[in-house]
Amino acid sequence: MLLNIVICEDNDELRNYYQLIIKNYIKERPTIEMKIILSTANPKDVNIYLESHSDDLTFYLLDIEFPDSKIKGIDLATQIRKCDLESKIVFITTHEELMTMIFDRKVEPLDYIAKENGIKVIEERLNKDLDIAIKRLEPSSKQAEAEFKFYIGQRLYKFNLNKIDYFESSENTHNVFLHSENEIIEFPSSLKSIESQYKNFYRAHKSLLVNLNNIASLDDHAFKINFKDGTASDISRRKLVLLRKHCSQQL
Amino acid sequence: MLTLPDSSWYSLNIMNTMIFFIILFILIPRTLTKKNILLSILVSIIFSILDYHMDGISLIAVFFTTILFLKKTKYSLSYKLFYFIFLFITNSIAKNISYSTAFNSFKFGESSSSNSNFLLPTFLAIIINFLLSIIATILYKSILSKKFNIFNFYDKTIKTISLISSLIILISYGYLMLMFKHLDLRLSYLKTILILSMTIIIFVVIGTVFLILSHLKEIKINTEKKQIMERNTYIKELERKNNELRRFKHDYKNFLLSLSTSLNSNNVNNDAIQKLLKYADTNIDSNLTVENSNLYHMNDELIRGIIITKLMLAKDKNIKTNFEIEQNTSIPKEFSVEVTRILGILLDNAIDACSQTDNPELDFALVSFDDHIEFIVKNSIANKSDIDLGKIYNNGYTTKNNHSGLGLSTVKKMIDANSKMLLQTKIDDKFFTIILTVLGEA
Repeated sequence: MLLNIVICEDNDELRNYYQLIIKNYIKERPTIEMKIILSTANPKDVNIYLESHSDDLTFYLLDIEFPDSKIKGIDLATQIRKCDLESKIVFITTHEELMTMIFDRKVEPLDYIAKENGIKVIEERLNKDLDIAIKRLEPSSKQAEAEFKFYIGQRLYKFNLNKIDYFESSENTHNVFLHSENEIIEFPSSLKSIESQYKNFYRAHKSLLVNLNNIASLDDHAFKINFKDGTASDISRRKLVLLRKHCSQQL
Repeated sequence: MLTLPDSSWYSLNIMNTMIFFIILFILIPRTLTKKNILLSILVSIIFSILDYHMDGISLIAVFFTTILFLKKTKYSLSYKLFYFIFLFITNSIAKNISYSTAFNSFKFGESSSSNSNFLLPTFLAIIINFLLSIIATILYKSILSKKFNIFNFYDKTIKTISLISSLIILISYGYLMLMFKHLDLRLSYLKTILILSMTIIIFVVIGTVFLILSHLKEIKINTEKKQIMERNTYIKELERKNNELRRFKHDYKNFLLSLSTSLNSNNVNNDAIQKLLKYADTNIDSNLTVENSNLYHMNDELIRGIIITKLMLAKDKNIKTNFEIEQNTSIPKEFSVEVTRILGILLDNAIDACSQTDNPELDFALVSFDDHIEFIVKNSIANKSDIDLGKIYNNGYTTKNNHSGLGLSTVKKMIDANSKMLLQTKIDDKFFTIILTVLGEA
């Protein structure tokens, strides 16, 4: 698989320098297919690239402020994320422009590189980030099946399907809660549509959809489902019997 | 004494009940659905006819239908009750005024022997009833939206006052009705009682209005006080930043000066420059913390207020803070009261939780997407295993000593009542994160 690299930095000297680092990196690894497909000072060029290459896996190296342009790095990155969930984005910037939480949430960048740390640090970090990008090239295509996809607004999110313990529907609203060991996520959906799309889930209760793969044990005394990661969920006695029956049938 | 035919009374009753529902739909447009319209027509026809034979059944039916219509709105029970009482009183006053004017103007009861002239007064009564009800409702609505805006709906005291006074009016009204219906009293005596009761009602209404107005004034003063406090903290923050900048400028000048001297002396010894660079690294950069100034550009005053207050509280407790506000974020106005309450609870919890850790850190962010916004509250935690994610939203669960554990369960209740607000909770080794999402118009 080919890795395209896009650089967008308005300072010509710095841009040439990044290019040099990356070219060296590519030269050292002749077996891996990758190339700098675009190196520009104008963020609009990136937008144009995006329109024609949204399917290609791309490594973006972006500055955050472009004084000559109205487009900001964060907007550009958001635009990229909208078209392409898989690409890797690295911000290279001065410290005070950073708003990491907003950036994390909106674009999930691979890394932030601070310019004031000096040229040496930039080179090290850039090499490391490229290593990560290459590593993630391979397995991502295989894992695609085991992901749970959901929308909040128009934004698409993915969650590792194997880590989901159960879904719980909200009482009054058309929302569903996703429960895992470390996260609870609420999103607009219905248990019915999830049940029809993902086969490993069993409707144990009107408001409960459990991941059969993750059940560790059923507690007959406390009326609980215990999951492998230590999470537990309450269930009524009658439904517990039904669930037990269903589980034994599966085995 | 009236000799209207049955059919006329039926139509009058049916129309009256329908007018009741029409003003309900005007007052709360959200209840206007196809199903509700059909149901209201059905209830009006069936129970109004029954009411002619069984006194009061229509009132009970209308009451339960109203409650059913209001079930999907998020008003509290007292407000539903208040709406019903308001509608009922408006409706019956309009009804009585219209009937008496219509029938009096046609001198019914004395000369009506022919069947032909009952149509006109019936029609007239319906029209007057309709107009009066609608005018009263629209008047009430415009007053409500102009003068009292959000306070009226969320302030507990006002809620109680209006509920109690409307209950008093309802009871006295019902009492009057009973007197008229079941006691065979002389007209002049009744008139005296009527005037007396009307005076009482008027006094109650005036008293209530004054009470509410004074209470509103108090609220206004309080918010103004809060705003002044906010402004003061803002000024303090600016002063602090100004000082920091001055210090930075000073350091910078020193730095440049020594650089130029080492250049002038033609000493190409790198040591001096290296030293200077080191000094610059450690002293200049670390001292300059630029707090996000977007906080003061937020368009929602309630939410901005709570964020600034909690930010200052965290700073007082020496918590390391990082507040990020995205520019040009528009917060849907209809949610600002709820969001403020939720953020207050979340930030309080976060401040309490992280001040128990060795390196307390509190992060907050307001992120705007195309069709929704997110508030992120993130705090450092002492020990991941202390928190049971499955239980934190339960009533009474708390990790704090001497605490009721009501905060998060209140948040959960508010989230559950509103499909446009979503909640995400996440724990990793060092941080506990809650994300509140507010969906915009779909």
